[in-house]
Amino acid sequence: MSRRAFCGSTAALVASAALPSSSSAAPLKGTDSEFVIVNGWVLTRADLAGATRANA
Amino acid sequence: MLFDFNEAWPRVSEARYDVCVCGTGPAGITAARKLASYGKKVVLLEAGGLAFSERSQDCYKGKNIGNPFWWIETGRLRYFGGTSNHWGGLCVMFDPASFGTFDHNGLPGWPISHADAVENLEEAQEILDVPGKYLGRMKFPGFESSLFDQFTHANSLPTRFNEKYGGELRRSEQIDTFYNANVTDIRLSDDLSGVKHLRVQNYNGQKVEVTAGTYVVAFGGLENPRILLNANSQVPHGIGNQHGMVGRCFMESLNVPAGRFLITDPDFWTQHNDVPLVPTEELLRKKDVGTGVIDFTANISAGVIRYGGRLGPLKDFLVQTGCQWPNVRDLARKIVDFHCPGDGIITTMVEQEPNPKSRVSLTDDVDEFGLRRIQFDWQFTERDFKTIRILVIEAAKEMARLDRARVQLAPAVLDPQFEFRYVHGHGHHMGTTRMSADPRHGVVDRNCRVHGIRNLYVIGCSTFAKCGGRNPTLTVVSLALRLGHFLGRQS
Repeated sequence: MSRRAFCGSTAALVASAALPSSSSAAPLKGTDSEFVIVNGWVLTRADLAGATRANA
Repeated sequence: MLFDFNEAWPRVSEARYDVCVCGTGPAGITAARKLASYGKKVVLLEAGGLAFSERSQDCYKGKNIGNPFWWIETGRLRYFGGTSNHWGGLCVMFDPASFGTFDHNGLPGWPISHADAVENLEEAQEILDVPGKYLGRMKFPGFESSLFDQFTHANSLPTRFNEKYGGELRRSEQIDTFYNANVTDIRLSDDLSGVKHLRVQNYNGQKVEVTAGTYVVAFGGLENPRILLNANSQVPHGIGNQHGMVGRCFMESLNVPAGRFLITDPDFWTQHNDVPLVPTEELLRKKDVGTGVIDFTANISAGVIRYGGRLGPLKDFLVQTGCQWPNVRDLARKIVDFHCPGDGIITTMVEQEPNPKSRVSLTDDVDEFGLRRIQFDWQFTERDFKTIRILVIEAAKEMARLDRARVQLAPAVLDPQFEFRYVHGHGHHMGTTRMSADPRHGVVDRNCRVHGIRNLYVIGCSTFAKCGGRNPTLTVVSLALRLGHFLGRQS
């Protein structure tokens, strides 16, 4: 795996580690729904989807 | 010429001076030199000696009754060259947005325009040894955002004013510089409309009156209000304090540990290492918050991302030892070569809004010259913290959107129920004799003249009506030049 490709999945790894269950993700208050907060991490919806796939 | 006031104190009464400048920090020396360039005869007074001494520095001791603050004594230096002697050297000009319409806590912003503030910028940059550089902000290469620009500053040497200008002042025919000269009182004329003379004392207890046509106080952000408040023998609450504004509205550039981040684009971070972001006017307008710098500092050493956070020390250990042992070498190499995400921290330099409750006043304790010491009460407002929260959250979102990093916010950034436990300053002491068009809102007018006193001026960070979330020294020097030109052109 190339360095860039590996790091491209870092966000999904973060989301995966921070989020045992994607159901506990909270939308960022007062903002659009593009971002979610998970254990303090500011993640994108795409990160969350990646984490869900990794946990499946 | 340069004189030791401990020995040459009688000389100060022999000359007739046009202007007396008090303080030899960046503001004082800059103003004195500019005035001399107009042919003014200047007496420049420094309370300390030519080098640091505990005895002089002791006068800076004070009492803190507000939020933790450890800069009262150590954040400034009381000897020739002033606080430039330990200045970090970052130079940047305040944003135009800082000079726009503003009204918080019933107080307006600057009574001068950004154009007024930068009219001597080129000369100020020469003085601080950062000529010709663009300072402020620019579009960030590789960070395509309408909400944040790159904070751009220049690093001065840093310029030490005693080293750079000591020789010039020693040779000057226009400026008489006296060190070990402590101003103990400002005496007004009988009608209280102007300064008649200063009372000045050396370390041997000898006192003399220093007389000039005009007086400029440049003692720094905490001492400027202190001397005005102490000068209360003719006016009960101190000079310039008819509306109780002297010492109020102390502001710092707020520095909080705002979170950490994991690198998702190593190429970007190895190029930049440090990513300081400043909000655009679009973001400030949309969110109605103050400005500042949100600084992402990656854990990079010699161009190499230090991966793994707490795994870092283990990897260092394996590189130094495990890889040397043949029987564990392969396993050690696998662990070392595994690239965990790189990491970094987020800090801030965010402006405070002017808040009359954040203030410098006086204790009953006095220093060796009989001047009451500082009582310091640093206070924050909800808006100060709102500014930090909004700017950090928006920056974190941009990092994720652009896939440069993922940010974990400190609990206090995310949830106002948590307190910011470690609020630091940057050693920027601002606002305590703030500039205002209306005497009810400040201490000095648009030309730095103390409201109601025809020949008394104050310069330095204390005159800032807003603090701008930027390093202040370049603005201080620029405004000192502005005063020098203003007074120099007067007959």
